[in-house]
Amino acid sequence: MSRRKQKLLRLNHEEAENVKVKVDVDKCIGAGLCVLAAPRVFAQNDETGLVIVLQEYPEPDEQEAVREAARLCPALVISFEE
Amino acid sequence: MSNKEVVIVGTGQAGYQVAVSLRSLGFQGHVRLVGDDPHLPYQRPPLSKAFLAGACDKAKITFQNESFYLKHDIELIRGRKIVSIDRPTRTVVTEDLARMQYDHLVLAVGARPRPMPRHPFISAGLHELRSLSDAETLRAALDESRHVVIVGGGFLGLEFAAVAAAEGKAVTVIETSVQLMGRAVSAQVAAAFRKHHEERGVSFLLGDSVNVILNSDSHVTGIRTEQGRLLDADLVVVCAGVVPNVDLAEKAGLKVDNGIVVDACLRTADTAISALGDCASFPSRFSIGRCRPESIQNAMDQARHVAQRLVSGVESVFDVVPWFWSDQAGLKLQIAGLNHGVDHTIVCGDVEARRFSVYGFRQNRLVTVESVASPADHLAGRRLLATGTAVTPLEVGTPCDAGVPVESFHAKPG
Repeated sequence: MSRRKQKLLRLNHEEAENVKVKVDVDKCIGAGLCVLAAPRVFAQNDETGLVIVLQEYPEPDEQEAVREAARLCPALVISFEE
Repeated sequence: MSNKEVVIVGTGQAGYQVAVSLRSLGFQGHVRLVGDDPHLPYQRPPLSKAFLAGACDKAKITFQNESFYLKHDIELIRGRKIVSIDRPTRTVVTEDLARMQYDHLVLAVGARPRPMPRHPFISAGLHELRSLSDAETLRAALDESRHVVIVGGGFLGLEFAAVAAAEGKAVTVIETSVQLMGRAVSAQVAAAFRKHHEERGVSFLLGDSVNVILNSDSHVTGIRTEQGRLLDADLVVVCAGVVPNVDLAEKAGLKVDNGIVVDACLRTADTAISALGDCASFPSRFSIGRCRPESIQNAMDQARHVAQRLVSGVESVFDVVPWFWSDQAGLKLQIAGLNHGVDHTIVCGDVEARRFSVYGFRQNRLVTVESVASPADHLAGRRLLATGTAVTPLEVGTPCDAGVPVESFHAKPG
């Protein structure tokens, strides 16, 4: 199998394992609760305070923190694609 | 003082946050979280937005399931009303006469909807919107309705109006003041939101109020206003503000004044009792006199502050910049600071495009920033207000150019 094909297979496998985090930035009001809950996955834009996703496919050990962040967000900005 | 038993009255966001923060700060004592709401603690802001619109379900706005409270040893007692506080014995009493001992009592009892004057009773077709139960009832009623009348043009009423209009209902908002969102926002911000709503089919009757509620078979059919307007209405929602729940504290001999009175550290005069969130008024460098900001941020920040004090035993002044947000039909409003005593404003940005901020000054000092679709202004404003730096107007009465950063205002140290 070619190297490129191996790499693609590996990526697909990773994506299947991990859930994709989506944020509706238009709704974000910069409360920052997501950053408190999952600082390795979410950050705030330094100028606007709006959410930035650091890991679009969070590591498995981040999943619980990410779900917590989604529940805490007062504007319900965070959702998942599974 | 030993804080082995903490009782938190009120299972709203503030009460929930106190319990969670106590545990995350390593509190080892008994934590009892008790309130009359039958639901697991939930998010309140979505009740007038996504939840009301049917875009999310109860699970999505519930903070945690039962197992979380068990896991973190938080005794959650739902649907139980506390009816009195026996301060000498440090116990609270429930309506079924159970007694709960406390070493420290946190009152997070929130506020309740102000009833319409002269129409204090809710009947079929007449609704309030405060709790999850209210929102569930309203969501179902909204589906069935065609003519919605909203009494009160404040933040809650306008968020509800946005949802109802988006669902194609005929929506009218009746407001006693001549301006939307009352004294909480500037005229420019109120005007921008009014246009935004009118473009989406919402009608406004300002400077007016409900005179008669017309009924047929005990169900609302219409409204006649003070100014003589007659409106069809099969759904009437009263969004006329909230009143803090002070009865429990007042009966126990604690001082109340637009809320349960606490000091800058959020303590009542009783060293074993704190109060916070929508029910409590406190002195703040951001206000003239006491304030009681009705905002989620205030509730959560105060909850963390009180939990910190209970765990560390160290008293500190609650000094967080008050801030607030509202989302109405996709138009975002963020407010930093409080507009008490504002005597001068400067508008920055593009008012026509509804992307602007209004800077409010009191005696030449910046005290509030209202931002419409301008999160960068909001964040900069919040940071400036937090530092306590005196920011004076660049030039009295001159609007500044779009995009001029707040730091360019002349800033004096201290």
